[in-house]
Amino acid sequence: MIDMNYNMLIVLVVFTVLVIYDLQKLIKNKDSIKVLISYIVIVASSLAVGLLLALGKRPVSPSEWIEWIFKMIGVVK
Amino acid sequence: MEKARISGLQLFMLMTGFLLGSRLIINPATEAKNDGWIAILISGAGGAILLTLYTSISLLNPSRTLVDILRHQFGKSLGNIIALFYIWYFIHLASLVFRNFGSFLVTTTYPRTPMEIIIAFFALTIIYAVNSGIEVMGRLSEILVPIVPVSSIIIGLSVVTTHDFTAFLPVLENGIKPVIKASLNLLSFPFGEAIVFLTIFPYLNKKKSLKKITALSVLLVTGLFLYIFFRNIIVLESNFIDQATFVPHVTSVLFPGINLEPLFDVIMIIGGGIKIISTIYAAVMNLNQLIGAANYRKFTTCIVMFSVVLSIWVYENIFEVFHWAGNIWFYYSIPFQIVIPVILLILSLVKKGRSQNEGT
Amino acid sequence: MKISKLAFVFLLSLLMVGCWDNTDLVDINIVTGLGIDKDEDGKIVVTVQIVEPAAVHLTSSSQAGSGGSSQTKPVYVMSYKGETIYDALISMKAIVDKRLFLSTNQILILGERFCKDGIDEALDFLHRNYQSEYRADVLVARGTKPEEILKIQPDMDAIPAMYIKGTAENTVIRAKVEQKKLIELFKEIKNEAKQITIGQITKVDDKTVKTEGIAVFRDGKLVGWLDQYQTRGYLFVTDKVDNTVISIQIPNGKIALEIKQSNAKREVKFKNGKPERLSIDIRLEGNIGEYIGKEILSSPDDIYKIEKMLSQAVKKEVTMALEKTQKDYSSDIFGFGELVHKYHPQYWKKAAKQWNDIFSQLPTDVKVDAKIRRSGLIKSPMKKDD
Repeated sequence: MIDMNYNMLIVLVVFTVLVIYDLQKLIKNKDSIKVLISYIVIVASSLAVGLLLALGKRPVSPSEWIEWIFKMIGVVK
Repeated sequence: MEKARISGLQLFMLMTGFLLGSRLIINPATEAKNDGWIAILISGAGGAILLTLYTSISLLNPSRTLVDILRHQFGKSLGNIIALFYIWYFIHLASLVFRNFGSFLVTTTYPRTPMEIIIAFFALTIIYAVNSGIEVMGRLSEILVPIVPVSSIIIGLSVVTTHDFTAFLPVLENGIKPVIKASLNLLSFPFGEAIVFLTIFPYLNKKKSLKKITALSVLLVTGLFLYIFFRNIIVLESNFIDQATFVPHVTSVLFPGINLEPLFDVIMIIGGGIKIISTIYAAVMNLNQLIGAANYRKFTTCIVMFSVVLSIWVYENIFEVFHWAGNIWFYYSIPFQIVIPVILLILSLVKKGRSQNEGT
Repeated sequence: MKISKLAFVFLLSLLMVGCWDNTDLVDINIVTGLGIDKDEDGKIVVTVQIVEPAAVHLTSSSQAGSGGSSQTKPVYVMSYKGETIYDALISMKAIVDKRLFLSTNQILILGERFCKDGIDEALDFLHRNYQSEYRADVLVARGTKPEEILKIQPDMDAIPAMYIKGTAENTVIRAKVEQKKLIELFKEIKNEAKQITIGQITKVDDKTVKTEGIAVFRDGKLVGWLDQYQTRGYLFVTDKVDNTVISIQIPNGKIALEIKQSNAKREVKFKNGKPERLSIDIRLEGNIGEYIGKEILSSPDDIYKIEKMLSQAVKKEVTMALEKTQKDYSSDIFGFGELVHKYHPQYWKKAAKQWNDIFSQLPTDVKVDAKIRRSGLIKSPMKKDD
């Protein structure tokens, strides 16, 4: 809990409020399970990453994966 | 698909705003130093070819958006997988623009405001704009985008008082290599990114003028890039351009008498905003079609949330931003911007030929 | 539904109003002048001149009105030592109460010792920091410390920095000091084809400073000075003269000629792929501003004579400047290297490193073509005809 990034936390809270508002509508309108699941997957993954960022534990980012892949193939030095 | 139409002018403005985007803040073709103008000309020509490619695909598959085209040409399962990759690419692109936008404002105008906050509040506006639909986006760009070139030109005209009109000499001092590198970079960012527009092209009300509109847009953007390049090199000289983080910002600081920095923020907000709106719209629209939901607006919030988090996640510092933009983005974009579209075009042409043969 | 929407909008407006890093005027110290020097131990000494806006108003009104003495001083000058500029500025908080606001900085005075050690890397902070004012005028303090310059209390202007900036700015009329903005200095620092020059400032007494002449650098290090006439020669060559007055001696008197326009063309003549000579072609136009003498200036022949003398005078100044920089300082402040770089890139690649030495060996051709157009309100001198 040393490097808490409160700004990131604020951002997450703001978005969570919006998402809850959205989810309410999704459930009310009885959308297909597919829609609901994909919605929740996207939100959950962004929340997870966001919380990790807020805690100061930055996971390896996609740009680093991509760079690593390119280095493996040998496109980029 | 929405039941909406946008006019030719609106598409033109949307596209011009998209292409200008954040490139007005990051100097075009910095790597080529004095020869940036050659790089800009090459990438302009390349951009015209790429956009012809995209418009041809769109015209060969009328009234189909990207996901439809992919499914139609590659078959359902392969098409879905490729579409998923495209959606990822769009979200990634949007998050990069978010990040550019945030870093610029934090470095120059709001040095004590946290970047996360700037990006997030910008994102809230984006959600609203995307949810308003393509027609509103078109009208929005019709009003806002003209401000961008006009203010850029005005800044240039009044700053160029210290004037060394031979500043771009000598030609090709460091050989052709950096020029090619710079032009490839400029080709993939922004011209190749216009692949996003495959989702928006079907909304144009007059299909016939599609090619003309895109060609004009590329022409205007290339011209503006040239203008900005010459403005910056005349005012700042090539050594200085090489060093500055956000070159046009430095140019604006030199304006005698008044402080023009806010004007650059406005340009950034308009250009970056239009770019993010179009990209997010494309991502949301395609995701929506992929999943088969009735209304694309359902996904706007979560996609924007994801790309905001991603934008903060992708890079640790501004050096990584520039390293990526300069060295990796181009290779990363090749499959999305060139390989798949070329395959799509060939498949579309083959299919069209076959159906015509069957018809006769 | 509607209430929640309204509440959300309300919330947004609360969050978006105002600035995150809002700072009130009373919470900052407005810096108008900045001085940078080194002490004997190699530490950086930063001096700031801080303005007290309320006191400025007080002093200026009291000067205009009753002349009563005001207690508060309009400016304070503070110095502090540190390892780097940024370090010194931040550590200065030990003796300064509020945040130092640098965006209002008008002048930057560099100390002699600081300049002799090289300014190339040392000024990085001013380049990097977002608060730095790129349009501030830079001057080198000659024979004194930046502190001393910033501490003067001029009668002409309540704020010393404004007074100093004013004297540097009016070089437009006299062309005897170079006005160098911080941004131009940064460009020169990055430019290996042109050596740095900065205007010089000297202290006359506690109320006056003088900005005359320039400081010459080589590879970022101060190597010497040019006096006011050599400076004008330098300005003629680099095409920076707008207006100036040149006085010439004639057999029975003196003429002061007002230069209205000057265009210079520099060229490096190449022979067999090597630079052979430097050629300078100056065209200028002037008027007769003052004439103390007996002869009546009426015939075109007289004017031709004066034109010729004017050309000679300008040529002399230019040659002086060239000789001094070539022989004594071996520093290409004129930017001939830029021309070589632009038009002979192949040669430049080989010669860039030794260019200053090559420059100082090259013979020079100076051509001056002066034209006199007008004679002012009177045609003949203010003297009784014999």
